[in-house]
Amino acid sequence: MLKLKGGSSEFFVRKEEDLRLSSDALAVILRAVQDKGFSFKFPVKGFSMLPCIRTGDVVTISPLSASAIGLGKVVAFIHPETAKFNIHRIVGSWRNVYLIKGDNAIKFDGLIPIRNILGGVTSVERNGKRVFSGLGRARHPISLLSFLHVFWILLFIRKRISILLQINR
Amino acid sequence: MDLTVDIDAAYVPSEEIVAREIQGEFIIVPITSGIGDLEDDIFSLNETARSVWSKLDGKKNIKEVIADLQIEFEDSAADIENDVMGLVTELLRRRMLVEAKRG
Repeated sequence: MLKLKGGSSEFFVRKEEDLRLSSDALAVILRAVQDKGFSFKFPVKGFSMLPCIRTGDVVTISPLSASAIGLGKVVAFIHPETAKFNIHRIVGSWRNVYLIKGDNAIKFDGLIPIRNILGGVTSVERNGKRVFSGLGRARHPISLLSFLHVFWILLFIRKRISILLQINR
Repeated sequence: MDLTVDIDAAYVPSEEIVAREIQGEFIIVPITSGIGDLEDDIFSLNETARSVWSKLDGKKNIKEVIADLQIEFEDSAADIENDVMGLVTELLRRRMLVEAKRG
């Protein structure tokens, strides 16, 4: 027989610092939260959505109706081939299939069916404050620039210029 | 909020949480103001708590839960009761558990 362990102080393993959730685990939790009709807020990691979303930013993902899924929306989705969870932007659509790409990514994620889209990013917070994240009117030009593979080139040039300006100071 | 545990009452997980077993961890995410917030609050239960949690189904009262655990575990009845009461109080305090409607 097993022995019960611990008192009340040990019932809970306090998280984040102790628990490193994989992106797959996050996807499971996101689905479970959205099944109840709620939004889900969590810190993200990665560079593929720079400069709109950075590592450490806290994004809120909300359920999206089919009609609300459209060009420029930043969505959380499960890749149908790799089964990986990602947050990238819709840059093209055809019926119920969406072409998705990270703003700072060179490659497209491919065509993602609507059933793989878990929700849309509705806010991005950095250090407790909401930041510009290309979710409003800017989402359309950003999605076009991203589709044409121009957005990351512009970002690259902007970064180079800012480095040059810093060197020349 | 009343945190007194009624040993004759049954308890169920609150509607204001999402709980899932993922990759060997039992994760609880509280829902606050319509948002499941992983930024500040995410919890995992240890094995003891998981054993108790799995029996809190709204049908068995706390007395019956303790009796079930006495069959599964070799601890003294007093220790088991102490752990169950401690955990249920803690879960009520964190609004992760609510008393089931009687009848």
